[in-house]
Amino acid sequence: MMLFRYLIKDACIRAQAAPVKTLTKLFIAGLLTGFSGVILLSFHITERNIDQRLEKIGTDTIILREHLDLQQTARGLAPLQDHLRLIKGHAASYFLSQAHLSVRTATDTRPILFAYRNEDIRTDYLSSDQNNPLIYFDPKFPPGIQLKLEIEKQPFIALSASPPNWLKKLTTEPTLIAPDSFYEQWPQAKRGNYFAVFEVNPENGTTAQISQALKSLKQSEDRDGVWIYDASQLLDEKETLNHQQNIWRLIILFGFGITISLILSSIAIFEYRESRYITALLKSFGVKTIWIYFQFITESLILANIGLWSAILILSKTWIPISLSLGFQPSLLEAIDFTAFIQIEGLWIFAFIHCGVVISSIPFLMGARNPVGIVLE
Amino acid sequence: MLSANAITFRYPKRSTPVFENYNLEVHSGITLFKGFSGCGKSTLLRLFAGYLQPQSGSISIPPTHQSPDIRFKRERLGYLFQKLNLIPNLSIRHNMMMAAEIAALNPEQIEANLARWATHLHIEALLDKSPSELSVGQQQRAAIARVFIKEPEIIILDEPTSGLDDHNTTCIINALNDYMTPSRYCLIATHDSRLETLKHQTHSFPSTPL
Repeated sequence: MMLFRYLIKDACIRAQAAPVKTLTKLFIAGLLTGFSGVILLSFHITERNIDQRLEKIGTDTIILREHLDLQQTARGLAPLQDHLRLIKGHAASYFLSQAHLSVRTATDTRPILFAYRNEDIRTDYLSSDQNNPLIYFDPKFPPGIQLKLEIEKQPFIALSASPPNWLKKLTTEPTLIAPDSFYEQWPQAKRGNYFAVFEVNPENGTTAQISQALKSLKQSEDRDGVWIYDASQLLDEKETLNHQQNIWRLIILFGFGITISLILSSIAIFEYRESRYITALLKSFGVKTIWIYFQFITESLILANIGLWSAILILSKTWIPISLSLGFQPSLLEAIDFTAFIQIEGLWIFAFIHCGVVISSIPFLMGARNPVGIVLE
Repeated sequence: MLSANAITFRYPKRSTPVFENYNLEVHSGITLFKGFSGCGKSTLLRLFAGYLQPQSGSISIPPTHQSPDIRFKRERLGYLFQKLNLIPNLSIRHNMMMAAEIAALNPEQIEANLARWATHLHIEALLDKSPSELSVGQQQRAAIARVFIKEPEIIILDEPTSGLDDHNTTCIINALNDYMTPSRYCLIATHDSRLETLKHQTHSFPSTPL
């Protein structure tokens, strides 16, 4: 008991005599924990983002976007979707083009305006009323309501509806869609952005096959403005991210582990003379080296753990502002469970801190090997 | 009987051995080790304590003739270093209590022995002071009290009275006389002729290194 009390008192006295060493042990563990926590959290949020996009798009969907500039249109280049109507049999396909007109609803929303050809989209919810063909899709707006709005300052009424799944894959913003013929009253309205959503029927080929066919078509027609997006890209993205994540985990485990062990070892070397003397003195009383080592390692582990858990506590309170400052979208952060994250990734941090502390005890062990009769006079 | 059996000992990085094939038997009672500085007195005491290991030969301790082990150091040995080595962060009381607790004495024994040896060595008033607050003579008495508190069978004192005045030396001699019983061993390395007043055996080292 007295030995235990002495060892605690000895640690406290050393902390009072040289607070910089104790604070360094504390802060280095906290700082590296915080730094590695932010790195791993960034990966976690990015991965969650990909997962969300994967959930949204699904593995059977291909989205194609094409931008045709004025020169291309003047040259008579038709949108790629004109060709793609040919593959309708292989996938449920939806074609839209964006109309650039000023629009504002009574609720002061500015939806995206889309045009469709009647033969392209035949669904029950699309209006067959030629005088009032506007459908307003907004996930946050109740369906079945007649909504007043202005297009190019002319009043119109749109019927609200729940956005269909294929549209939600394209955008979750409020949209207003109407047939091509509706926009004929504004001949000056520019078109330029064309969209196609394909929901692949597995009986007619895989998403990858159809996506590859589209890419080949894009290449053969030399269309720079075409952007093809499907789950395979997201899966590739996720694989690359996981690879980078594993590399960073190893960097954290070994790199940060070595960093903390080097810093703590340097402090241990500074304390070498003192610890060598006290160790020899206690050994002269018949105290086993293992007990003295236990005191040394316990002290280092307590300090490192105070630093570690303080940093995790601070991170748990500040991870949202930190993530926002790193450019992550607030909507994305809503889906993050910090506790679940730290329970998994915290193990890497825990491992590197503890490995570092154990490695930093090597100078102590070297000092403890010296015979009592050599150290004490 | 405490014995060194054909021991050879050389300090690391030194070419000349301090002892080579050296034999010595020490009987119970007080034995004074005398010799010039550097002749190997302190080294021999450290070998007997098990604080140094001979490169060959062995040290055997009574009654089983085993080599000094950790339990021997904890329970049966009291050692006074030349530089005393009182633990600077602890009071004299706690220095003494720690040695006794490591030796596994029970609390009652510790209290009784602490009071006894503090009185014998006149350090009662110094018990709650830290070593740095004491004079050299007071530190010397406190360090000897720390040796005596666990009442070990073998005590080894390295220059216990060097630099002390007659008052402090007499105090230590009286305490030693009180401490010794026929079965106990006391090995003292000294140049101090005042210790000759103790009933003792003498082992003189030769005038040249062994």
